[in-house]
Amino acid sequence: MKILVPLKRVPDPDTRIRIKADGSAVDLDGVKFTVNPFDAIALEEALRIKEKLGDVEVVVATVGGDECVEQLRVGLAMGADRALLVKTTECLDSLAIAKVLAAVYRREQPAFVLMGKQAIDDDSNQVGQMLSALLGIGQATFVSRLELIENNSRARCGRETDGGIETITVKLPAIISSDLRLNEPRYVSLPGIMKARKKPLEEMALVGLGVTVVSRTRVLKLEPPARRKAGVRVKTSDELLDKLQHEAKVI
Amino acid sequence: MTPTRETFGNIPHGSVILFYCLTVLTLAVFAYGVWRRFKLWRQGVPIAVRELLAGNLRQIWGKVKPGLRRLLAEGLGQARVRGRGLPSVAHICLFAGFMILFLGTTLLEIDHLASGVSHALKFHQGTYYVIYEFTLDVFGLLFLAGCLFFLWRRTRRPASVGHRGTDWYVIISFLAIGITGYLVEGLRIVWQHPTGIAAHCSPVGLLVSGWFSGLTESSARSTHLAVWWVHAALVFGFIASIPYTRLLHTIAGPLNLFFARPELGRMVPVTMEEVEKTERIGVSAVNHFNQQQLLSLDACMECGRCEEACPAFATDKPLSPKRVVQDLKELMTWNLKPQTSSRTEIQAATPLRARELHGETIQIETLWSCTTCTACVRVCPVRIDPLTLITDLRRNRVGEGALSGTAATALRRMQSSGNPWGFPAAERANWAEGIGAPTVKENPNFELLYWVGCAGSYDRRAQRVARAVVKLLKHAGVNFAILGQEEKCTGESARRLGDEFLFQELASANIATLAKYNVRRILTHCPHCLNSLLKDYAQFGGYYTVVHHTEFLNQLLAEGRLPASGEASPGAAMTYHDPCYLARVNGIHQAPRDVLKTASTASNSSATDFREMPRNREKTFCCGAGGGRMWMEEEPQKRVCALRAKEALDTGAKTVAVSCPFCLTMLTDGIAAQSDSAQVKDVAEILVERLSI
Amino acid sequence: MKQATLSAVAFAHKVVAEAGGLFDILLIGENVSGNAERLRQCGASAVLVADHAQLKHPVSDKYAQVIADVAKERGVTMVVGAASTYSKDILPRAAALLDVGMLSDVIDVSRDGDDFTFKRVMFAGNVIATVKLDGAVKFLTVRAAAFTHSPTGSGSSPVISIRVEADRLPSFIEYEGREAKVTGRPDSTEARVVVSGGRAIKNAADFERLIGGLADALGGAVGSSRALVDAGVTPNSLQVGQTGKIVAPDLYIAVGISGAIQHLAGMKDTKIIVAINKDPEAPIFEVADFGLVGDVYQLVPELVQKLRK
Repeated sequence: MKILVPLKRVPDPDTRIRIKADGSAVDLDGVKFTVNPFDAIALEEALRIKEKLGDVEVVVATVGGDECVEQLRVGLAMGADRALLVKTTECLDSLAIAKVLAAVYRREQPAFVLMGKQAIDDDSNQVGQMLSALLGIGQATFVSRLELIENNSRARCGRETDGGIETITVKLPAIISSDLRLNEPRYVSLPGIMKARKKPLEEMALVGLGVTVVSRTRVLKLEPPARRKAGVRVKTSDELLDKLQHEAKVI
Repeated sequence: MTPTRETFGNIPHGSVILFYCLTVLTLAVFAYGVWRRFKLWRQGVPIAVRELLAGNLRQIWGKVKPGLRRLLAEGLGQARVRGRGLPSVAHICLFAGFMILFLGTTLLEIDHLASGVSHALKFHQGTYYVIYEFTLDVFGLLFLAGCLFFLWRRTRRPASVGHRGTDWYVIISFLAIGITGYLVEGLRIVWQHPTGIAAHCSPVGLLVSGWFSGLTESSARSTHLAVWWVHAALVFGFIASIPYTRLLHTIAGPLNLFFARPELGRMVPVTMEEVEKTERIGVSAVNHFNQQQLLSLDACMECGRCEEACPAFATDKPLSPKRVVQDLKELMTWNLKPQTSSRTEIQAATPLRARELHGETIQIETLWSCTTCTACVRVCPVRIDPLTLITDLRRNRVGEGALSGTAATALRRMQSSGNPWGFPAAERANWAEGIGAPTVKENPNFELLYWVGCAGSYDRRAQRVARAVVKLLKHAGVNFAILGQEEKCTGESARRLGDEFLFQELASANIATLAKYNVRRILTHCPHCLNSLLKDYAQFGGYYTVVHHTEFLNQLLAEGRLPASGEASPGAAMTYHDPCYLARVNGIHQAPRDVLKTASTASNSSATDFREMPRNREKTFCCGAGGGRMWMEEEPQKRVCALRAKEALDTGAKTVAVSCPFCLTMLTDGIAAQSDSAQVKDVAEILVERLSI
Repeated sequence: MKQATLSAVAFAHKVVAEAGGLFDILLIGENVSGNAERLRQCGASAVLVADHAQLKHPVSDKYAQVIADVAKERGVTMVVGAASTYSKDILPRAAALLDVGMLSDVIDVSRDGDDFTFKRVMFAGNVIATVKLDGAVKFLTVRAAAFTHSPTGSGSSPVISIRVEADRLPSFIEYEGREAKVTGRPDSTEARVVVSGGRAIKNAADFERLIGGLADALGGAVGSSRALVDAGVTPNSLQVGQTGKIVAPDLYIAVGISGAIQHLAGMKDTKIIVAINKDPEAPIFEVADFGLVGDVYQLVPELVQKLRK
């Protein structure tokens, strides 16, 4: 069995995001990058399936520049068998990424795809769903419980929805996107990363995949939300509600 | 008549020959047994024994002297056996009795051989003999007293002590040896008829001889011979059984005292090259431990002192240091069977499966339960170090990706943000806004660097301690500076959790920063930072004088740079909780008490009502946060901090003084759950209050 | 009628107000005529109803197909849903079926010539991005709190029945069931508002009344400090902190919580922190944007009462 786990290089979740003065982009000076936490959860799930079933190949893939190799190595260090980098310097939106991943999928022909529901920088939560539509296969999103059933031909998934946990079964192959409570990913330290150096990491250009994509989303400007002022002591509950409603505008 | 007695008196020549033959046989069995165990220890990672003996005599002496000192003080002197009440006394009696009896027998044999060469060399007579006999009689009683106590204790089956079938054999055999020894002596006196001092120098023997006074000379002699043989057989049995019973600790124990690393709070570094060469980090099989560690497994007597001292064990966590040692010892015996050709054949026919270390012998929850408090290491009479066994095992688990959850999150945050909570590195100096604590850039000619640590920098509660320290330093006119944003987590808890390389990464960065500003002297209010900066960092080229804030404040008070008198304050009942890494690991426990007492004995104020908890100073009981456990969850009913909080509240104290940010957090939690009025404060905060600064 | 639906409708009204045009509401399900009736008052040009047994449960493969077909047939230029798990699951799939792009969590829209400019949140709400989306059709999800006003009145929309070709619907997914939440409250890790109780709350009944009450009045989630979990007042699943849940809501109200670092580490990325505590020295006031000192047993009921009005 082969499981494909796309992952994304994102700024560390604890980073205080600063925006450049001209509002053109996020200031990445001194920012540390990690594997998108939801993708790490997806990879952890794939690895647990591998540990349980035995004959499973876990392939991690990402789309981006050379700097993304760092995150692929973390994926390999966690336990993935093989890594793929689709090289591009362009900034691609969700549909474009989905198209690239569709090409990767066709190349790899995995039993199913496990990926994070959203990237913590873009927060779009679209790629998995779009990918499944492009490939004409099923999807299970925001999964917090996963079980392979019927001789690994279907997956029973518990999905985190606003109304509670919804259980569905989906025919494989399918795109499964992970939610926070699916598992807790294993910690990777330097020895694991060193060992991972021996695992195969393949690089290919977008053209090599036979894909031309264009990003239809254009970011014009970035700005921070309303600045938080210094702490204020209010005297009454009325005053509190007033400030929350009119000043902070959170209720 | 010169007081003396004939060696082998009444023993026929044939018996003597047989005796010596059996001696040789016994020693062979003993040596073989020890050799088998030695072959197991040898399969560990080599320790540099040859190196010990390299160089000239002076160099060799320098290298072996510390170990020999330990052998003398702790082996012969039983220094580490003390402190457990009656069992300690009993063991010392048993041990002293046994050693004197053993020495006596040796001297007797030497005299026998010497007088065989020339009668003039005989020394076993006269005053020497009198003293000899009396001493042996008295120490024989001590020996018996010890044996009786241990026999009695064993019948009560205390849980902390190990229980094996062979234990009964050993203790009863000991008793029998002691008793038959006196019987032999008594019977000898019956047929020898010594008089005067020659008789009274053996008071117990004399007493015993009274029981046999009715025997004729010939029946006395034949009984004497019979009992002598029983006694000899028991002794041969005991010596031969040493390597096969708990008595192995008499060999392995002293050896471990010699070879064990003496200092608490130290860890052995690992290099990337080693990891690449061995393709592993830490211990995943029992022969990955070093030879001294494997030897130490055999030194364990299952006395249970470590278990009784362990905070994890006290809170029902799946960790007993004693069990870890015993389980590893069993694994060593099972997996590292000495290879002989016949055994290989047997093994080929019925292959014996080697047991797994992780998951089968030692469970992973056992490893995460440890707070690295070092209580088990301090308390072991033979210097076994269960803590290093555990951290070596942790290193492997972390390297293999077996850590996840909140502790893993803390490690990730240490790496990306330089602190375990993930607060921005850029905000690290925000606590110091407006209080006039210069950074190293603002005050480049500083004499003392105040290392604030992560808690002092980001934890709102601990920030108040840092600010109190700064107030005191400024009041005393100390020329200090802080690193500010450039300070990163020391990595101490990362190292103890098992991520050696994250620690080294943080340490390298900090050492470079400290070198950039030529830092030599460091002040810190965190004992974990102190221990790391002092001992861990020295392994990577960072050499500093590190002083704890309680030591420094004490010094300032003594020098008069801080006023030793303040406002009259009511004598509130106070107790002080010694942090593990300050009091036990680094031996600092008087200075904080002096600060607390000096601050209060102002000229016209009543002295503080200071109370000690039962477990204080080096015997302190952990708050539960060490070893990365600060980042892990505990079950509500089984919290280490709750136990310690209860101990503190039981003293009747209303204020619990602490001197560590971990202890501050844990005890505040623990106390708040049990008391509405008691408060937890740092020594610096108390001093600021008292001095009304 | 869910707030979410109303916000999507409000968004539609805003777009139509700025750029002209009209909007339809698409209702998918089985036996949904009752719902359709209520939707007629929203001011849409039509309420389209795709009613079929196969559409009983909101499975994404079927629903996305229906949406894509309807969008194509009706020649729409925008498809809008509220930023709910329902929309997020289905709409991107529908967009890709039509080979068009999508924007999530839109909080503002304004006309820009023939096109529109949108504002959406990124980086867990720490960045507001002004974006454009090229293409003839745009799919969007919009944040409920950002679109609230719809013009009232405007009569009744016609209901148009959409023909569902059941055999063309894909069947990758089978719906098995849903574990309804014990309370209607959202999970603290995903709620916009979290109200959290600490040691000051004495028992479970008080927790439900005060913390639960305030959370419900604000439509938020509940959380607790470890002290209450220890005391058996709240279950472990509610614990917010370094060994519990990590939350990042827009508003976090800490009731009777001292602000120890173990707790702060779990909610430090909150946008607005409110602290209510009787101890003016509690560390929580150092991080709170708004602090109210007083007895929580008096202040919280006051707040609940005032919010309910």
